Amino acid sequence: MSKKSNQVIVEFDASEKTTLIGFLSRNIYELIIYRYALYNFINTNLSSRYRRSTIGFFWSLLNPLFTMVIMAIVFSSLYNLPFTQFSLYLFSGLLPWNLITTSLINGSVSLITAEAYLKKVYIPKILFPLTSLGVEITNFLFSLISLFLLSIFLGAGFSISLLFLPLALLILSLYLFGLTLLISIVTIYFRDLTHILQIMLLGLFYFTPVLYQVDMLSDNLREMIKFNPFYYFINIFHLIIYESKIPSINEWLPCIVFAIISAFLGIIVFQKKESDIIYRL
Amino acid sequence: MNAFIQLEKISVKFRIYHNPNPSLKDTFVNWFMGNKKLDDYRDFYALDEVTLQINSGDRVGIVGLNGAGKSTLLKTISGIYRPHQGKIKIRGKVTPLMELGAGFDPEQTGRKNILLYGALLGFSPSIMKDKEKEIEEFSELGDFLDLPVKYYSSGMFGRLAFSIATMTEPEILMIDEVFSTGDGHFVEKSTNRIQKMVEESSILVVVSHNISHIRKLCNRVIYLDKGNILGDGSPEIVLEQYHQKILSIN
Repeated sequence: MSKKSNQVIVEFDASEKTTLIGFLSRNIYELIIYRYALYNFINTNLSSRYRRSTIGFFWSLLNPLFTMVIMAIVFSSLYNLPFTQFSLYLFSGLLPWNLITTSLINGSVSLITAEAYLKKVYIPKILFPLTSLGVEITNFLFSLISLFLLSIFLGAGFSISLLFLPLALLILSLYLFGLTLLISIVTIYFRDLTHILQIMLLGLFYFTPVLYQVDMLSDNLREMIKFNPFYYFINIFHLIIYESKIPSINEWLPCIVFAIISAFLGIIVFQKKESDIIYRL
Repeated sequence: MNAFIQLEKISVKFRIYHNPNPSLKDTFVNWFMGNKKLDDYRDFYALDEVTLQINSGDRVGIVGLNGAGKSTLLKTISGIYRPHQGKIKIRGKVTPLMELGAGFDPEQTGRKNILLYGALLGFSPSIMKDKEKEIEEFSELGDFLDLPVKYYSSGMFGRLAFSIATMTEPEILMIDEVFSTGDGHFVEKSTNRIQKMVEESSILVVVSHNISHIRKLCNRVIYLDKGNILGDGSPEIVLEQYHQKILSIN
């Protein structure tokens, strides 16, 4: 080990600004080296969530399922809609929405809670927002399985549009990746951001068609909702899972644009502030 | 092996804020009330233009009073702190031996924690699996290795941490006050192992308040005070200088 690593050369000059290319190549290189650490962080985080329960990780399947069944019963009777139809609509929007809120809220504290690691060993800082995102994506995949089990039970068939689900998840993940990086940094400077975020996301939840359908809204509201970036992402999931339609390019495009802008913004902010984090914890 | 560490005019600056937990609410209220005081900070130089060359074969002991910048210097070399000024050039893999057990997950078994700890240092599970036997033997934890770490006594915890942290063959070894863990038997064993690591490494940098350890391990001593190097040279001369300083304070 030591023979090989004698090549390790660190060169650092405080007067040189880190370039974006330099930042990206260093982080990709470090992620390859520290991939086990990332895997372990995600793994321990997930297993500690459902520890001490006899059926263990099945809770990660059952818990969201039961929550959604209750919501589906309540709202389908409120709206006078058939349960099977409305539940599929509700689930296909609620799952990605849960992914959005949990990864943003957990991502916002990801660097602060990693203080013990960051102050004691050298470890790439990007691992921590990535961990919270990874945990939530894995959770999303678990819930997705339960959604499919349920939809088979409810009599829904397999449609070709489902093949586009990985692409939708990929674009949403990229969007959340950028936002998580951004929020994890901003929370260091404003510690109460997590609380503000929780309230904002609750407000946004009612401003995103998850509990209701867009055509239930008045024309004015329908125009306003187009300013909500999350609407476009939820819409894609509704189309693919609920309506069994392959989204058209006009529906994909806003998501892709939002994802690229967010990833770009997150990376820029992280690059600028990364080395300042340790002094602010 | 020709490992080296070069520091050129390195400064590490800490900012001490009046308000260490800034919030959006405070910022907004301050801005609204025209109150600047909470945003106030003062700069504090933990390292002040430190220039240092450490070559292969150097066993460097760092001494100084509390707050002299000793640990900051080690953490800067490890890459934890990014200096605000100056240049660093290092050849060789830096292995820090600081704050035992930093990366442990108390809910996981000792065996699992071997993998976790290794991953934090950038080692793959297959490398750590190879080392597992060795760690098991050295730590003498036996069946306890299959229990969650939270059930360990603090001595056992320290033994496991030490055994994992010292299983690598370091090129540049950095030690920050981690000499005694466990019972008398283990202390002796760990001292021997540190001695062996020191012999195998090409550079050693050690921070300690224990002068006899420094005398035993080092062939060069650096005396830090308020972020400046006051003395650098053979242990006899610099330790004497440090000793005089302590006497003058008392």
